[in-house]
Amino acid sequence: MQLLKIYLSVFILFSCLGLSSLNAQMTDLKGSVTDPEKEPLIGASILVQGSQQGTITDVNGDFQLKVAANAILIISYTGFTTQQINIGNQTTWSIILEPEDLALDEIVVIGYGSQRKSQITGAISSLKGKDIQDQPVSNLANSMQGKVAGLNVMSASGTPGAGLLVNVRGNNAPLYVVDGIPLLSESNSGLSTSFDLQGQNVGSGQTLSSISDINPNDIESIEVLKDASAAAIYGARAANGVILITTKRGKAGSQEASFNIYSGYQKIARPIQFMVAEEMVGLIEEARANDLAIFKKDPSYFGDDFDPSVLTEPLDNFDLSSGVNTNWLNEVSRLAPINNYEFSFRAGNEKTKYYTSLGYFDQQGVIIENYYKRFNYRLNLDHEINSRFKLGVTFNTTYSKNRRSFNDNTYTGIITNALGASPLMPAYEEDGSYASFEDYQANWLSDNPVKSAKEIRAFTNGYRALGTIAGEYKFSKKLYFKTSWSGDVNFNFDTQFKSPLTADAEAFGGEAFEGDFRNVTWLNENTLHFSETRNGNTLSLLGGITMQRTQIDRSSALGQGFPPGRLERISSAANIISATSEGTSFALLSFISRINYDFKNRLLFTFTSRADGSSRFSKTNRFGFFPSGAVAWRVSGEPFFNSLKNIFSDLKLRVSYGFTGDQEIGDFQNVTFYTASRYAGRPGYQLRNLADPDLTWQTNRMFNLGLDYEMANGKIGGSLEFFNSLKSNILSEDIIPATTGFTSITRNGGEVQNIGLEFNVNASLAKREKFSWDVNFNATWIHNEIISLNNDGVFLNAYDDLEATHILQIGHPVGSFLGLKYLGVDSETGDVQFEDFNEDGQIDYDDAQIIGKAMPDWYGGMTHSFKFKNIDFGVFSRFSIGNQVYNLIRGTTENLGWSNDGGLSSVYANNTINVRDRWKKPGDEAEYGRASFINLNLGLNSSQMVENASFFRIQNVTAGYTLPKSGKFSSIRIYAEAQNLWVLTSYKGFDPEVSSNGGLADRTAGVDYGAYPSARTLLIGLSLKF
Amino acid sequence: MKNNILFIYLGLLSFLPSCLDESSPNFLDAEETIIDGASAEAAVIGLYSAMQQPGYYGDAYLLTSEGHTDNASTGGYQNLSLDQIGHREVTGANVISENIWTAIYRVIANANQVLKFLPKIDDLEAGQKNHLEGEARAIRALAHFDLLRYYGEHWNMSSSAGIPIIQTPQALKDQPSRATVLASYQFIISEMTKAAGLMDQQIKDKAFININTMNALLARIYLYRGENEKAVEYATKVIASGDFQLLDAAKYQDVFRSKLNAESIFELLFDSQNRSGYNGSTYSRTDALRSELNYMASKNLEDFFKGRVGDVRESLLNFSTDGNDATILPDGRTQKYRGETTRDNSAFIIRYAEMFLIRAEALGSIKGLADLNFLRQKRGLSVLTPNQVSSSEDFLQAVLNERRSELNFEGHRYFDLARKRKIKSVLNIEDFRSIFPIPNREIIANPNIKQNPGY
Repeated sequence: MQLLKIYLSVFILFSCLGLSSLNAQMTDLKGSVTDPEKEPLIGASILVQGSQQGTITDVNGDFQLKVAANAILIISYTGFTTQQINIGNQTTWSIILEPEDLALDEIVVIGYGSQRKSQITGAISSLKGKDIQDQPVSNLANSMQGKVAGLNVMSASGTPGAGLLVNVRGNNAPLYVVDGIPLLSESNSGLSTSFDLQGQNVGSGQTLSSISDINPNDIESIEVLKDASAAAIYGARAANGVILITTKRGKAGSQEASFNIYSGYQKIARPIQFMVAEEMVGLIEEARANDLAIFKKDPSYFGDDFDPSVLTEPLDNFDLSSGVNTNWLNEVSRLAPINNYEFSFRAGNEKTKYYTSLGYFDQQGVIIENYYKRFNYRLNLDHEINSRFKLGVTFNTTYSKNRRSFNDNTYTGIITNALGASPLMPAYEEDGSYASFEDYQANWLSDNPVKSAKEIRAFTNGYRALGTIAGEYKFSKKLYFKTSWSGDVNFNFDTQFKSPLTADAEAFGGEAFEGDFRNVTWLNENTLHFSETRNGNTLSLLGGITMQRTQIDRSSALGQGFPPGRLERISSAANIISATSEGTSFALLSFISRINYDFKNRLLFTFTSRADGSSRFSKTNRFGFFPSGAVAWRVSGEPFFNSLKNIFSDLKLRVSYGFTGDQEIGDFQNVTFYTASRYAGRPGYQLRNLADPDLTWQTNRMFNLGLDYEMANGKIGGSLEFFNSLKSNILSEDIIPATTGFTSITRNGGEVQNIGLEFNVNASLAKREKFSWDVNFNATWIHNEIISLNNDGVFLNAYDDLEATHILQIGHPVGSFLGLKYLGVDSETGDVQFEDFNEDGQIDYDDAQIIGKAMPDWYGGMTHSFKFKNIDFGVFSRFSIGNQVYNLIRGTTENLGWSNDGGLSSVYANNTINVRDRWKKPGDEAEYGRASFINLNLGLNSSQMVENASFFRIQNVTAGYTLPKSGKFSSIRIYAEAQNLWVLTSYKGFDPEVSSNGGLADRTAGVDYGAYPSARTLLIGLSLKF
Repeated sequence: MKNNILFIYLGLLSFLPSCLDESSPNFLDAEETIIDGASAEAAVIGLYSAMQQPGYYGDAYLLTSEGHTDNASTGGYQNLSLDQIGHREVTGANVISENIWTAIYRVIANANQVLKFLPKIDDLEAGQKNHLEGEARAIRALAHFDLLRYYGEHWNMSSSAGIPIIQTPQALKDQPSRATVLASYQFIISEMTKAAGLMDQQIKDKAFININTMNALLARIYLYRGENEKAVEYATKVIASGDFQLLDAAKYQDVFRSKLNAESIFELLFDSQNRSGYNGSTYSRTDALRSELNYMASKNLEDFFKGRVGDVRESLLNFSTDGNDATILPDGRTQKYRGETTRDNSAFIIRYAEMFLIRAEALGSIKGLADLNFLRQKRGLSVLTPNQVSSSEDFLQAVLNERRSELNFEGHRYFDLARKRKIKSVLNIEDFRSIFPIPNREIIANPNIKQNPGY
């Protein structure tokens, strides 16, 4: 409301200025302003230079003005080049303004159509292809990081091809619409799970993203629909925002081939420093000595039958005599190449236009053996059959092959094992065989990580075809009909082979898993578009019906016992242990409508609604209606504003309010079902779920107040947004009494509020012939709070077999960490201390409280682009403030010499050098407690593990040189680029942007359990156009 | 003309399968599934399958209670819930306990679903239908009893800390309270008795609940309840049935190594599609580290066997470095759940040997000695003389020792110590830890559930 007041004051000020006018020696001037096609421009501004006198054109584009002789007029209209005319003695003028390719009035894609930016009433951020191209990332969402206010994209891990935590205004997992086709947001791979040692699924893994199949270099533009007005056209799937991705199409009259190649290397950006052998042995001996000293003081502390000799006897295989000093992080990581090749060709004439491209992306992981490769092909074709009938085809196929890094999220994975492994253990024995982890000290290990990396061969193969054929029929200039048929065919094939050498499959003589995922979505959309301009007011109408159906089939098989040699497919298994096959489906039927009314290019109204019917809900609750409305006022189009045109060349105030929905709960949740089960070779049924028959849509209502500004004749422009949204009827897994037979149910309930401010500015700080400097800066502040819940204070676990790590509590943000409050080290004893929160005299997990949150308060990014002659230079940085990470792997990597072994005969895991700052003698003020062999003197699941993960990151630095035009080539550019060059953070793990259990779960976000480290990439590239 | 084409197209669109009624190839509407004899039988098969959940007889139910006693110690990585069990400091936040609670109520929900629809089935012979009803009632009663042992003050008939009794499919709004211990027993026993009456006396398949199972379970339940005469009566029924025999000492290991053997009264069979978790929790691999196992046989159990010369039951424990990684020592491993490649070892829910132990305990020091000695001899031990166990306290100790030797790692010791009020003296923990706390999650979801005293 504060903002509104400010704007009202500014408005009044403008009005007063507008009233003042001069009266000197006057001529009556008449004229009209049109565009080159003689269409009148309504509301064009005519200003007398050096004065505050002026007017605007009426509905016919005409104007009248009294001016002093020889005055100079400045005629401007948004989207057109401003003209200056010296009127001399001429009293009648026909002024023609040329359209301008102004950044601020670009064409913006909106749902089911496009608009000039000046006509937009909602909160939409737009990125162009050039903003995201040539970045060494597998997922295009990566390249959106930090570029859009209100959009927080976090890499959950550095795994190539991994999903990302994409958050639009506090809401996770937006809807992606690629060339009009909504994509499934879920992960498709059967390998995206974390397993414990018994093979039980304990959590989700690094998901694969549904948009990583799109080649970033094919992208023409990306639009982020942020407020209800912009997103409501996608109704029931728009509650978390909508990201529209539009690919390049052919252009008439031009013919352009382009070839891009880049090649580079990646390495772990911020390796964690571990103790070398000597220091680790020293720590263990210190730990044992500390315990012995306590025993000597008070033997009762250790129980009656404690034999102190276990603290003095040498530990087996734990001395420096072998000379082995393995740096495990080096053993499992590497300098990894990354290569990208792509060729595209666009051409066309008046009738037929096309764009086609071929791409190959090959990213080797920084962890050994791991890679992600992708082949893309695209053809976008437009053809005019006759003056009324147009045809458009979009077709994209992708094949990707991903060699997975085993359990990249959990404690049996390659990275987590490497983090705890002892430097006294070699990767290989002298005879070349893998060192057996049981023979060396480090109980933490579940296998030799080098062996896991090499001997667990897991691949996810992705096959995707995405295509649309669309017809557009023009009844008249005002009315056209568009129909489109789209298909998204997405197959995934997972294979995972664990060789008999691995601890995971040693007992079975090898184990193979194969999983198959097949998704076919078809979509039909039919829209009728009407537009009419009368008296300078434009009315546009859109109405339509869309239908969509998705069918998903999954199957898998598990086999054990494999013969020697590389026979690793299920058919080679001695025993087929299990096989599954299941299917699921959903359908959506929707009615859409939108009314745009443009009143003299000054007031713009938009009313959008969508009615969605979903098979996911029962008949009575099936349809949801999602309306929204918005008004925008181009203040700069008002006469009184003319005097301010010198400062603000454009100013638009926007207000919107509306509703969007969410149905992302999975299929078949609305009925209590039986599913098959078996016992003793006989088939049977078991209850699968408990359903709430009243299950219905989640809604998100959002208020948005926005201001678009353009200053200094377009040199500076941007926007300011304030939003307040309330998600209600939230579809969530609520806990219910287990006496029902189930612990949770999918139902509606609870409210979450997101309030935020967004600021965005583009400035052209220098624009000369030889030198230019452009800056883009955006920042977002967001406040997320749970307003109500069906059950307050529910504990959540990032991993099913671990203690609760998160809590949902009213008054706190989603993704709040739960744990004991750490009070530091007792300087006399070296013990770690915790708050007795429930004051029962005991420290246990009942004392757990909220100790942090994963979500940032502020985030944003800044891009500087310089051009000097043929040299271009860009620096892109981004920041995040207020986010925290629950760094739980420190429970292992900072164990202070603990042995988790009851017999005290072995060591648990190596330590990072962070623990050098530990308590050693009474009086020490240290960050870490006393080293101890017997006790884990560490705050597991406590605020000791919660770290400030705020960061400032230099994300990308690019320097390029464009050769002068020569011969056949219209452009040759060579460039060098550094990605993730530098991070300023106090975070102790690999990267402050992390979420070990995958990209989609915001409720359990921000846990670091040794997630795949992020890479720093250096590359050189070449871009040819001819 | 062109407009006509458009209208035809639009007309065609309206015939598109815009139907929003999707049906799943994997799920059946639970209200429309149990419609005839065949589907009712399948739903009863599902009850056994439900009992195999990892939280129940698939793994956690038995081993977790062992982990809380002097029979076992816990390993694992830094798994706080497992550590709590090993340290006997379980809190309401314990994930393993939560899984147990949930898994058992899942079985109850499945049984209630069967019992709701079974009366409407009319294509079954009365005998068949009764037997199915008997199985469902018996499984439901066993589930309640197993809950009572973990979460209710099962030794104290005047305690209000029983368990919520669930007899009908629950709606979301249902928030049941805990019954008293007495009411819990009354429900369990009356259901068990009713179920026994419904059983077809000819069916003796040990992989399924049958009349012998009913008698054996009733013997156990009456013993817990403190109705010793009844316990003797039902144990005698099982012994007198002639359907079982104790194996010779030389063949003792077959009790766990062969399925459906002569000592087995009721066991849940596992196979490759329904894998058991016991093995993964206790054995996994020959050279497994401490951190890779959840439950290990404690040094205390090894010491216990040192005083029992000739006891063949020691052979199912391994405390040596041969076959154990050094990190496990001085603890060892049970050999009751081998089968690490196939993971199909059975869950022995009730065995014949327990009948002698029940009858011995229920009969008391003089009369019960014969049963105790009968079992001891079969296990390679010498007989105890009446003088050695003349006082009832000595006899009880002898019974408890015998139970520990016979039933270790089968989920008895914790309940035995609790019902004999020996938790404090044997385990050196406070008395209120004789039972687990109700999972916090349940209390949050259902305000009518009160926490156990002391927690």
